Amino acid sequence: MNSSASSSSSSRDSELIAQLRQSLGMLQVAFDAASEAMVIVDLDRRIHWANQASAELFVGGVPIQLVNQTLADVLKLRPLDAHAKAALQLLDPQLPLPRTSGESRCQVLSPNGDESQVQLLRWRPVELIQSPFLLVSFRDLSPEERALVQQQRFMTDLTHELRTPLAIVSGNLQRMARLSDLPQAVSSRLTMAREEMARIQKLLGHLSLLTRLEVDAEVVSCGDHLLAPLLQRWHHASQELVPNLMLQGLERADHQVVQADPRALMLALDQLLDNACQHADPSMPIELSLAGEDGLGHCILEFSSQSLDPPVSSEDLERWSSPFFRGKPERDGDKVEGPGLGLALARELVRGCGGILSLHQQPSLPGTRTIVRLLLKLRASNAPGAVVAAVRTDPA
Amino acid sequence: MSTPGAWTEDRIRALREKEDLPFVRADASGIVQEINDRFQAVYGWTEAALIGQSLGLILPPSFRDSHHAGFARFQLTEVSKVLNHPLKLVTFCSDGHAIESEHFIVAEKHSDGSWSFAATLRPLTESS
Repeated sequence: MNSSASSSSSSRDSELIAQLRQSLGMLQVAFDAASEAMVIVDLDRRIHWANQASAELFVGGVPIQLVNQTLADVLKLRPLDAHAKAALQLLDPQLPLPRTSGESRCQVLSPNGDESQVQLLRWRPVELIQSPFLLVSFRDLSPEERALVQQQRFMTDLTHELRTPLAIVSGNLQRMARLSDLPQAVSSRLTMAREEMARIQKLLGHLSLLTRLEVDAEVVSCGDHLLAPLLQRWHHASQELVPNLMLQGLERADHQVVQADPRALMLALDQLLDNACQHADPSMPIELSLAGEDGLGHCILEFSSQSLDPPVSSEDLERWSSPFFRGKPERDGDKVEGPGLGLALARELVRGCGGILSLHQQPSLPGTRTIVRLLLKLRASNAPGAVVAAVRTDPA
Repeated sequence: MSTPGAWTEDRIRALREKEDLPFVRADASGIVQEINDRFQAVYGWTEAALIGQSLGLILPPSFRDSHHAGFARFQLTEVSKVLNHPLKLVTFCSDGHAIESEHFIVAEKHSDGSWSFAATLRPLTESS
Protein backbone atom coordinates (compact mmCIF):
# COMPACT_ATOMS: atom_id res chain seq x y z
CA MET A 1 0.00 0.00 0.00
CA ASN A 2 1.50 3.33 -0.96
CA SER A 3 1.42 6.40 1.30
CA SER A 4 -1.43 8.03 -0.63
CA ALA A 5 -3.66 4.95 -0.24
CA SER A 6 -2.73 4.66 3.43
CA SER A 7 -3.59 8.30 4.01
CA SER A 8 -6.93 7.89 2.25
CA SER A 9 -7.75 4.81 4.36
CA SER A 10 -6.84 6.66 7.56
CA SER A 11 -9.06 9.55 6.52
CA ARG A 12 -11.98 7.17 5.91
CA ASP A 13 -11.39 5.58 9.33
CA SER A 14 -11.45 8.98 11.00
CA GLU A 15 -14.61 9.89 9.17
CA LEU A 16 -16.22 6.60 10.16
CA ILE A 17 -15.21 7.08 13.80
CA ALA A 18 -16.66 10.60 13.74
CA GLN A 19 -19.92 9.24 12.34
CA LEU A 20 -20.06 6.48 14.93
CA ARG A 21 -19.36 9.00 17.66
CA GLN A 22 -22.18 11.17 16.40
CA SER A 23 -24.56 8.18 16.30
CA LEU A 24 -23.57 7.22 19.82
CA GLY A 25 -24.10 10.79 20.98
CA MET A 26 -27.54 10.88 19.36
CA LEU A 27 -28.50 7.63 21.04
CA GLN A 28 -27.40 8.93 24.41
CA VAL A 29 -29.26 12.21 23.83
CA ALA A 30 -32.41 10.22 23.07
CA PHE A 31 -31.86 7.91 26.04
CA ASP A 32 -31.35 10.89 28.35
CA ALA A 33 -34.33 12.79 26.93
CA ALA A 34 -36.68 10.04 28.09
CA SER A 35 -38.61 10.93 31.21
CA GLU A 36 -38.58 7.25 32.15
CA ALA A 37 -35.65 6.20 34.28
CA MET A 38 -33.92 3.37 32.39
CA VAL A 39 -31.02 1.08 33.16
CA ILE A 40 -29.70 -2.01 31.44
CA VAL A 41 -28.40 -4.68 33.80
CA ASP A 42 -26.51 -7.92 33.24
CA LEU A 43 -27.10 -11.35 34.77
CA ASP A 44 -25.28 -10.25 37.94
CA ARG A 45 -27.66 -7.29 38.15
CA ARG A 46 -24.77 -4.89 37.47
CA ILE A 47 -25.77 -1.73 35.63
CA HIS A 48 -24.19 -1.44 32.19
CA TRP A 49 -26.09 1.54 30.91
CA ALA A 50 -28.13 4.20 32.61
CA ASN A 51 -29.87 7.33 31.49
CA GLN A 52 -30.00 10.71 33.20
CA ALA A 53 -33.48 10.15 34.64
CA SER A 54 -32.31 6.97 36.39
CA ALA A 55 -29.23 8.74 37.77
CA GLU A 56 -31.44 11.48 39.19
CA LEU A 57 -33.95 9.02 40.64
CA PHE A 58 -31.43 6.64 42.20
CA VAL A 59 -28.42 8.75 43.22
CA GLY A 60 -29.30 12.34 42.36
CA GLY A 61 -26.26 12.40 40.08
CA VAL A 62 -25.03 11.39 36.65
CA PRO A 63 -25.32 8.09 34.76
CA ILE A 64 -21.67 7.08 35.10
CA GLN A 65 -22.13 6.97 38.88
CA LEU A 66 -24.56 4.07 38.41
CA VAL A 67 -22.34 2.02 36.14
CA ASN A 68 -21.06 -1.28 37.56
CA GLN A 69 -23.20 -0.98 40.66
CA THR A 70 -25.85 -3.60 41.32
CA LEU A 71 -29.49 -2.64 41.36
CA ALA A 72 -29.56 -3.40 45.09
CA ASP A 73 -26.63 -0.98 45.63
CA VAL A 74 -28.57 1.96 44.29
CA LEU A 75 -32.17 1.01 44.75
CA LYS A 76 -34.57 0.03 47.48
CA LEU A 77 -38.09 -0.80 46.43
CA ARG A 78 -41.42 -0.96 48.14
CA PRO A 79 -43.66 -2.93 45.78
CA LEU A 80 -47.32 -2.05 46.13
CA ASP A 81 -49.17 -4.71 44.20
CA ALA A 82 -49.53 -8.34 43.34
CA HIS A 83 -46.25 -8.50 41.50
CA ALA A 84 -44.17 -7.66 44.56
CA LYS A 85 -42.36 -10.99 44.50
CA ALA A 86 -41.32 -10.61 40.87
CA ALA A 87 -40.25 -7.00 41.44
CA LEU A 88 -38.10 -7.88 44.44
CA GLN A 89 -36.56 -10.69 42.40
CA LEU A 90 -34.84 -7.94 40.41
CA LEU A 91 -32.83 -7.03 43.49
CA ASP A 92 -32.17 -10.39 45.13
CA PRO A 93 -28.90 -11.96 43.94
CA GLN A 94 -30.00 -15.32 45.36
CA LEU A 95 -32.77 -15.53 42.78
CA PRO A 96 -32.40 -15.84 39.01
CA LEU A 97 -32.99 -12.68 37.03
CA PRO A 98 -36.49 -12.67 35.48
CA ARG A 99 -36.47 -14.14 31.96
CA THR A 100 -39.86 -12.70 31.05
CA SER A 101 -41.26 -9.20 30.98
CA GLY A 102 -43.20 -7.86 33.91
CA GLU A 103 -44.34 -4.77 35.70
CA SER A 104 -45.23 -3.68 39.19
CA ARG A 105 -46.28 -0.53 40.96
CA CYS A 106 -43.77 0.45 43.58
CA GLN A 107 -42.10 3.24 45.47
CA VAL A 108 -38.39 3.88 45.28
CA LEU A 109 -36.84 4.47 48.70
CA SER A 110 -33.89 6.82 48.97
CA PRO A 111 -30.95 5.97 51.28
CA ASN A 112 -32.41 8.29 53.92
CA GLY A 113 -35.77 6.53 53.71
CA ASP A 114 -37.68 9.07 51.62
CA GLU A 115 -40.34 7.52 49.41
CA SER A 116 -40.77 8.45 45.77
CA GLN A 117 -44.16 8.91 44.19
CA VAL A 118 -45.70 5.60 43.15
CA GLN A 119 -43.83 4.47 40.05
CA LEU A 120 -44.58 1.92 37.40
CA LEU A 121 -41.61 -0.44 37.33
CA ARG A 122 -41.19 -2.45 34.15
CA TRP A 123 -38.60 -5.00 33.14
CA ARG A 124 -37.97 -6.61 29.79
CA PRO A 125 -35.30 -9.12 28.76
CA VAL A 126 -32.90 -7.90 26.08
CA GLU A 127 -31.44 -11.00 24.47
CA LEU A 128 -28.07 -10.08 22.98
CA ILE A 129 -25.78 -12.60 21.33
CA GLN A 130 -23.11 -12.33 24.02
CA SER A 131 -25.35 -12.63 27.03
CA PRO A 132 -28.81 -11.73 28.22
CA PHE A 133 -29.48 -8.32 29.72
CA LEU A 134 -32.53 -6.81 31.29
CA LEU A 135 -33.94 -3.35 30.55
CA VAL A 136 -35.44 -1.94 33.74
CA SER A 137 -37.48 1.24 33.62
CA PHE A 138 -39.43 3.40 36.04
CA ARG A 139 -42.00 6.02 35.21
CA ASP A 140 -44.47 8.16 37.13
CA LEU A 141 -48.00 6.87 37.08
CA SER A 142 -50.47 8.64 34.83
CA PRO A 143 -53.15 10.72 36.61
CA GLU A 144 -55.66 7.90 36.02
CA GLU A 145 -53.29 5.29 37.46
CA ARG A 146 -52.58 7.51 40.49
CA ALA A 147 -56.31 7.98 41.05
CA LEU A 148 -56.81 4.20 40.93
CA VAL A 149 -54.07 3.63 43.50
CA GLN A 150 -55.60 6.27 45.78
CA GLN A 151 -59.03 4.76 45.37
CA GLN A 152 -57.77 1.28 46.22
CA ARG A 153 -55.97 2.59 49.30
CA PHE A 154 -59.07 4.46 50.35
CA MET A 155 -61.22 1.34 50.01
CA THR A 156 -58.75 -0.76 51.96
CA ASP A 157 -58.59 1.83 54.76
CA LEU A 158 -62.34 2.35 54.79
CA THR A 159 -63.24 -1.33 55.05
CA HIS A 160 -60.63 -1.76 57.77
CA GLU A 161 -61.95 1.22 59.75
CA LEU A 162 -65.60 0.15 59.45
CA ARG A 163 -65.10 -3.39 60.69
CA THR A 164 -64.74 -2.59 64.38
CA PRO A 165 -67.76 -0.26 64.80
CA LEU A 166 -69.92 -2.64 62.76
CA ALA A 167 -68.88 -5.58 64.93
CA ILE A 168 -69.84 -3.56 68.04
CA VAL A 169 -73.26 -2.59 66.63
CA SER A 170 -73.86 -6.14 65.49
CA GLY A 171 -72.94 -7.55 68.92
CA ASN A 172 -75.29 -5.12 70.67
CA LEU A 173 -78.14 -6.00 68.33
CA GLN A 174 -77.56 -9.66 69.07
CA ARG A 175 -77.62 -9.02 72.83
CA MET A 176 -80.83 -7.01 72.49
CA ALA A 177 -82.44 -9.80 70.48
CA ARG A 178 -81.81 -12.18 73.37
CA LEU A 179 -83.96 -10.06 75.69
CA SER A 180 -87.30 -11.67 76.37
CA ASP A 181 -90.66 -9.97 76.44
CA LEU A 182 -89.85 -7.50 73.71
CA PRO A 183 -92.96 -5.99 72.13
CA GLN A 184 -93.72 -7.50 68.73
CA ALA A 185 -93.11 -4.22 66.89
CA VAL A 186 -89.72 -3.77 68.55
CA SER A 187 -88.78 -7.38 67.93
CA SER A 188 -89.64 -7.14 64.26
CA ARG A 189 -87.66 -3.91 63.85
CA LEU A 190 -84.77 -5.53 65.65
CA THR A 191 -84.87 -8.46 63.25
CA MET A 192 -84.87 -6.08 60.33
CA ALA A 193 -81.93 -4.15 61.79
CA ARG A 194 -79.97 -7.40 62.28
CA GLU A 195 -80.67 -8.48 58.70
CA GLU A 196 -79.54 -5.12 57.39
CA MET A 197 -76.45 -5.29 59.58
CA ALA A 198 -75.67 -8.77 58.23
CA ARG A 199 -76.07 -7.39 54.72
CA ILE A 200 -73.72 -4.48 55.43
CA GLN A 201 -71.13 -6.85 56.88
CA LYS A 202 -71.45 -9.15 53.89
CA LEU A 203 -71.09 -6.22 51.49
CA LEU A 204 -68.11 -4.94 53.41
CA GLY A 205 -66.50 -8.39 53.29
CA HIS A 206 -67.11 -8.56 49.55
CA LEU A 207 -65.84 -5.03 49.03
CA SER A 208 -62.71 -5.76 51.01
CA LEU A 209 -62.05 -8.98 49.08
CA LEU A 210 -62.79 -7.30 45.74
CA THR A 211 -60.31 -4.51 46.51
CA ARG A 212 -57.67 -7.00 47.60
CA LEU A 213 -58.23 -9.03 44.43
CA GLU A 214 -57.71 -5.90 42.34
CA VAL A 215 -54.46 -4.92 44.04
CA ASP A 216 -53.06 -8.27 45.09
CA ALA A 217 -53.76 -11.25 42.85
CA GLU A 218 -51.82 -13.45 45.27
CA VAL A 219 -54.90 -13.49 47.47
CA VAL A 220 -55.81 -16.34 45.13
CA SER A 221 -53.42 -19.25 45.36
CA CYS A 222 -53.83 -21.52 42.36
CA GLY A 223 -52.81 -25.15 42.08
CA ASP A 224 -53.80 -28.23 40.10
CA HIS A 225 -57.04 -29.79 41.32
CA LEU A 226 -59.34 -32.51 40.07
CA LEU A 227 -62.49 -30.71 38.98
CA ALA A 228 -65.12 -33.38 39.66
CA PRO A 229 -64.52 -33.74 43.44
CA LEU A 230 -64.47 -29.94 43.81
CA LEU A 231 -67.84 -29.56 42.10
CA GLN A 232 -69.34 -32.51 43.95
CA ARG A 233 -68.21 -31.11 47.29
CA TRP A 234 -69.66 -27.69 46.54
CA HIS A 235 -72.91 -29.18 45.21
CA HIS A 236 -73.29 -31.40 48.26
CA ALA A 237 -72.81 -28.46 50.66
CA SER A 238 -75.07 -26.13 48.69
CA GLN A 239 -77.93 -28.49 47.94
CA GLU A 240 -78.90 -28.61 51.60
CA LEU A 241 -79.85 -24.93 51.35
CA VAL A 242 -80.97 -24.91 47.72
CA PRO A 243 -82.67 -28.23 46.93
CA ASN A 244 -83.37 -27.26 43.30
CA LEU A 245 -79.64 -27.01 42.56
CA MET A 246 -78.60 -29.60 39.96
CA LEU A 247 -75.13 -30.71 38.93
CA GLN A 248 -74.91 -31.95 35.34
CA GLY A 249 -72.33 -33.31 32.91
CA LEU A 250 -69.92 -34.43 35.58
CA GLU A 251 -69.05 -37.53 33.54
CA ARG A 252 -67.13 -35.15 31.25
CA ALA A 253 -64.97 -34.07 34.19
CA ASP A 254 -63.51 -37.52 34.71
CA HIS A 255 -59.82 -37.00 35.63
CA GLN A 256 -60.01 -33.39 34.43
CA VAL A 257 -57.51 -31.23 36.34
CA VAL A 258 -57.98 -27.47 36.50
CA GLN A 259 -55.68 -24.72 37.70
CA ALA A 260 -57.65 -23.05 40.45
CA ASP A 261 -57.79 -22.00 44.05
CA PRO A 262 -60.54 -24.26 45.47
CA ARG A 263 -61.61 -21.65 48.04
CA ALA A 264 -61.86 -18.97 45.37
CA LEU A 265 -63.79 -21.24 43.00
CA MET A 266 -66.22 -22.29 45.76
CA LEU A 267 -66.72 -18.67 46.78
CA ALA A 268 -67.36 -17.66 43.17
CA LEU A 269 -69.94 -20.44 42.81
CA ASP A 270 -71.51 -19.33 46.12
CA GLN A 271 -71.93 -15.82 44.70
CA LEU A 272 -73.52 -17.17 41.54
CA LEU A 273 -75.88 -19.33 43.58
CA ASP A 274 -76.84 -16.40 45.85
CA ASN A 275 -77.49 -14.33 42.77
CA ALA A 276 -79.59 -17.03 41.13
CA CYS A 277 -81.61 -17.56 44.32
CA GLN A 278 -82.31 -13.86 44.47
CA HIS A 279 -83.34 -13.34 40.86
CA ALA A 280 -84.44 -16.68 39.41
CA ASP A 281 -87.82 -18.36 39.43
CA PRO A 282 -87.72 -20.54 42.55
CA SER A 283 -89.84 -23.23 40.92
CA MET A 284 -87.22 -23.82 38.24
CA PRO A 285 -83.96 -25.73 38.71
CA ILE A 286 -80.62 -23.96 39.00
CA GLU A 287 -78.02 -25.92 37.07
CA LEU A 288 -74.28 -26.11 37.22
CA SER A 289 -73.05 -28.13 34.27
CA LEU A 290 -69.78 -29.02 32.70
CA ALA A 291 -70.25 -28.09 29.06
CA GLY A 292 -66.95 -29.41 27.65
CA GLU A 293 -63.74 -27.69 26.59
CA ASP A 294 -63.08 -24.68 24.38
CA GLY A 295 -60.07 -26.21 22.60
CA LEU A 296 -57.87 -23.42 23.97
CA GLY A 297 -56.93 -25.06 27.23
CA HIS A 298 -60.08 -24.22 29.18
CA CYS A 299 -62.95 -26.29 30.44
CA ILE A 300 -66.37 -24.65 30.31
CA LEU A 301 -68.66 -24.56 33.30
CA GLU A 302 -72.15 -23.15 32.87
CA PHE A 303 -74.23 -21.91 35.73
CA SER A 304 -77.77 -21.39 34.54
CA SER A 305 -81.02 -20.24 36.06
CA GLN A 306 -84.39 -19.23 34.71
CA SER A 307 -86.50 -16.20 35.46
CA LEU A 308 -89.86 -14.99 34.25
CA ASP A 309 -88.37 -11.63 33.29
CA PRO A 310 -87.70 -10.69 29.68
CA PRO A 311 -84.06 -10.67 28.52
CA VAL A 312 -82.07 -7.50 29.21
CA SER A 313 -80.08 -5.59 26.62
CA SER A 314 -76.56 -6.86 25.92
CA GLU A 315 -75.15 -3.60 27.39
CA ASP A 316 -76.99 -4.14 30.66
CA LEU A 317 -75.97 -7.79 30.71
CA GLU A 318 -72.35 -6.74 30.33
CA ARG A 319 -72.74 -4.34 33.27
CA TRP A 320 -74.32 -6.90 35.58
CA SER A 321 -70.88 -7.90 36.74
CA SER A 322 -70.00 -4.28 37.61
CA PRO A 323 -70.16 -3.48 41.33
CA PHE A 324 -73.55 -2.23 42.52
CA PHE A 325 -75.06 -2.21 39.05
CA ARG A 326 -78.79 -1.62 39.51
CA GLY A 327 -80.70 -3.34 36.73
CA LYS A 328 -84.15 -2.86 38.22
CA PRO A 329 -85.46 -1.94 41.67
CA GLU A 330 -85.24 -4.99 43.94
CA ARG A 331 -85.68 -3.59 47.41
CA ASP A 332 -89.28 -4.23 48.32
CA GLY A 333 -90.97 -5.93 51.22
CA ASP A 334 -89.96 -9.42 50.10
CA LYS A 335 -86.60 -8.79 48.54
CA VAL A 336 -84.32 -6.96 50.94
CA GLU A 337 -81.24 -7.45 48.80
CA GLY A 338 -80.34 -4.53 46.58
CA PRO A 339 -77.75 -4.54 43.84
CA GLY A 340 -74.53 -5.90 45.26
CA LEU A 341 -71.11 -7.17 44.47
CA GLY A 342 -71.80 -10.88 43.97
CA LEU A 343 -71.22 -11.10 40.22
CA ALA A 344 -68.33 -8.61 40.33
CA LEU A 345 -66.70 -10.64 43.08
CA ALA A 346 -67.30 -13.93 41.23
CA ARG A 347 -65.74 -12.46 38.09
CA GLU A 348 -62.63 -11.29 39.96
CA LEU A 349 -62.28 -14.62 41.78
CA VAL A 350 -62.45 -16.51 38.48
CA ARG A 351 -60.02 -14.05 36.92
CA GLY A 352 -57.70 -14.54 39.89
CA CYS A 353 -57.68 -18.26 39.00
CA GLY A 354 -56.67 -17.34 35.45
CA GLY A 355 -60.19 -17.96 34.13
CA ILE A 356 -62.88 -15.89 32.46
CA LEU A 357 -66.47 -15.28 33.53
CA SER A 358 -69.06 -14.09 31.03
CA LEU A 359 -72.82 -13.62 31.08
CA HIS A 360 -75.28 -14.78 28.46
CA GLN A 361 -79.05 -14.91 28.10
CA GLN A 362 -81.40 -16.81 25.87
CA PRO A 363 -85.17 -16.71 25.63
CA SER A 364 -86.79 -19.72 27.22
CA LEU A 365 -90.44 -20.31 27.69
CA PRO A 366 -91.52 -18.99 30.02
CA GLY A 367 -89.09 -16.08 30.46
CA THR A 368 -85.34 -16.03 30.11
CA ARG A 369 -82.47 -18.40 30.85
CA THR A 370 -79.39 -16.64 32.23
CA ILE A 371 -76.13 -18.48 31.82
CA VAL A 372 -72.94 -17.54 33.61
CA ARG A 373 -70.11 -19.18 31.68
CA LEU A 374 -66.85 -19.89 33.48
CA LEU A 375 -63.75 -20.80 31.51
CA LEU A 376 -61.27 -22.48 33.84
CA LYS A 377 -57.70 -23.18 32.84
CA LEU A 378 -56.95 -26.85 32.40
CA ARG A 379 -53.62 -28.20 33.58
CA ALA A 380 -51.28 -28.16 30.59
CA SER A 381 -51.30 -31.94 30.14
CA ASN A 382 -55.11 -31.87 29.93
CA ALA A 383 -55.30 -29.31 27.17
CA PRO A 384 -55.44 -30.90 23.71
CA GLY A 385 -53.17 -28.27 22.14
CA ALA A 386 -50.62 -28.23 24.94
CA VAL A 387 -48.56 -31.23 23.91
CA VAL A 388 -48.33 -30.02 20.35
CA ALA A 389 -47.25 -26.57 21.52
CA ALA A 390 -44.59 -28.06 23.79
CA VAL A 391 -43.13 -30.10 20.95
CA ARG A 392 -43.11 -27.10 18.62
CA THR A 393 -41.29 -24.85 21.05
CA ASP A 394 -38.75 -27.42 22.17
CA PRO A 395 -35.42 -26.19 20.78
CA ALA A 396 -34.02 -29.73 20.74
CA MET B 1 -28.11 20.37 33.04
CA SER B 2 -25.22 22.74 33.54
CA THR B 3 -23.27 24.32 30.75
CA PRO B 4 -19.51 24.44 31.15
CA GLY B 5 -18.04 27.52 32.77
CA ALA B 6 -15.62 29.83 31.01
CA TRP B 7 -12.44 27.98 31.75
CA THR B 8 -9.34 29.56 30.28
CA GLU B 9 -5.80 28.37 29.76
CA ASP B 10 -4.74 30.28 32.87
CA ARG B 11 -7.40 28.72 35.03
CA ILE B 12 -6.55 25.26 33.75
CA ARG B 13 -2.92 25.91 34.53
CA ALA B 14 -3.94 26.88 38.06
CA LEU B 15 -5.97 23.70 38.30
CA ARG B 16 -2.98 21.70 37.14
CA GLU B 17 -0.82 23.15 39.88
CA LYS B 18 -3.51 22.90 42.55
CA GLU B 19 -2.35 20.98 45.61
CA ASP B 20 -0.07 18.91 43.47
CA LEU B 21 -2.96 16.68 42.46
CA PRO B 22 -2.88 14.17 39.60
CA PHE B 23 -3.88 16.01 36.46
CA VAL B 24 -4.96 14.87 32.99
CA ARG B 25 -5.89 16.84 29.91
CA ALA B 26 -7.60 15.65 26.72
CA ASP B 27 -8.58 17.15 23.40
CA ALA B 28 -12.03 17.47 21.87
CA SER B 29 -11.96 13.80 20.80
CA GLY B 30 -11.13 12.58 24.28
CA ILE B 31 -7.52 11.82 23.36
CA VAL B 32 -5.09 12.34 26.24
CA GLN B 33 -2.74 15.27 25.58
CA GLU B 34 -1.06 15.72 28.91
CA ILE B 35 -0.59 14.09 32.32
CA ASN B 36 1.49 15.42 35.17
CA ASP B 37 4.12 13.68 37.29
CA ARG B 38 1.70 13.20 40.16
CA PHE B 39 -0.74 11.38 37.89
CA GLN B 40 2.05 9.06 36.78
CA ALA B 41 3.10 8.44 40.36
CA VAL B 42 -0.36 7.66 41.68
CA TYR B 43 -1.87 5.70 38.78
CA GLY B 44 1.27 4.23 37.28
CA TRP B 45 0.66 5.44 33.74
CA THR B 46 3.63 6.79 31.75
CA GLU B 47 3.33 9.53 29.17
CA ALA B 48 4.46 7.05 26.54
CA ALA B 49 1.61 4.70 27.40
CA LEU B 50 -1.18 7.26 27.72
CA ILE B 51 -0.53 10.32 25.57
CA GLY B 52 -2.39 9.93 22.29
CA GLN B 53 -4.73 7.27 23.75
CA SER B 54 -8.39 7.54 24.67
CA LEU B 55 -9.34 8.86 28.11
CA GLY B 56 -11.39 5.68 28.38
CA LEU B 57 -8.15 3.86 29.24
CA ILE B 58 -8.07 5.42 32.70
CA LEU B 59 -11.58 4.13 33.42
CA PRO B 60 -12.41 0.48 34.24
CA PRO B 61 -13.68 -1.35 31.14
CA SER B 62 -17.23 -1.51 32.46
CA PHE B 63 -17.33 2.31 32.63
CA ARG B 64 -16.10 2.91 29.10
CA ASP B 65 -19.49 2.56 27.34
CA SER B 66 -20.95 5.22 29.58
CA HIS B 67 -17.86 7.45 29.17
CA HIS B 68 -17.86 7.24 25.38
CA ALA B 69 -21.60 7.83 25.20
CA GLY B 70 -21.39 10.80 27.56
CA PHE B 71 -18.47 12.24 25.62
CA ALA B 72 -20.25 11.85 22.29
CA ARG B 73 -23.35 13.37 23.80
CA PHE B 74 -21.41 16.43 24.99
CA GLN B 75 -20.04 16.99 21.51
CA LEU B 76 -23.57 17.23 20.18
CA THR B 77 -25.11 19.25 22.98
CA GLU B 78 -22.25 21.03 24.78
CA VAL B 79 -24.22 20.32 27.94
CA SER B 80 -22.99 18.12 30.74
CA LYS B 81 -23.68 17.42 34.37
CA VAL B 82 -20.21 16.08 35.16
CA LEU B 83 -18.38 19.40 34.80
CA ASN B 84 -17.24 21.86 37.44
CA HIS B 85 -18.05 19.85 40.54
CA PRO B 86 -16.38 16.97 42.39
CA LEU B 87 -17.46 13.57 41.11
CA LYS B 88 -16.54 10.29 42.73
CA LEU B 89 -15.45 7.79 40.07
CA VAL B 90 -13.15 4.81 39.81
CA THR B 91 -9.83 5.37 38.03
CA PHE B 92 -8.02 2.52 36.32
CA CYS B 93 -4.27 2.21 36.97
CA SER B 94 -1.78 0.96 34.41
CA ASP B 95 -1.45 -2.32 36.32
CA GLY B 96 -5.23 -2.95 36.30
CA HIS B 97 -5.85 -1.75 39.83
CA ALA B 98 -8.85 0.51 40.39
CA ILE B 99 -8.62 3.50 42.70
CA GLU B 100 -11.69 5.42 43.74
CA SER B 101 -10.94 9.07 43.06
CA GLU B 102 -12.68 12.37 43.25
CA HIS B 103 -12.59 13.86 39.75
CA PHE B 104 -12.98 17.57 39.14
CA ILE B 105 -13.53 17.97 35.41
CA VAL B 106 -13.55 21.24 33.49
CA ALA B 107 -13.99 22.06 29.83
CA GLU B 108 -12.39 24.84 27.86
CA LYS B 109 -13.84 26.15 24.61
CA HIS B 110 -11.24 27.44 22.19
CA SER B 111 -11.65 30.33 19.82
CA ASP B 112 -12.10 27.90 16.90
CA GLY B 113 -15.11 26.36 18.68
CA SER B 114 -13.39 23.14 19.72
CA TRP B 115 -13.26 21.93 23.30
CA SER B 116 -10.56 20.51 25.49
CA PHE B 117 -11.04 18.88 28.85
CA ALA B 118 -8.95 18.81 31.98
CA ALA B 119 -9.38 17.11 35.33
CA THR B 120 -7.71 16.85 38.70
CA LEU B 121 -8.11 13.55 40.48
CA ARG B 122 -7.98 13.18 44.24
CA PRO B 123 -7.34 9.52 45.16
CA LEU B 124 -9.69 8.27 47.87
CA THR B 125 -9.66 4.59 48.79
CA GLU B 126 -7.73 2.01 46.85
CA SER B 127 -9.33 -1.19 45.64
CA SER B 128 -8.38 -3.95 43.31
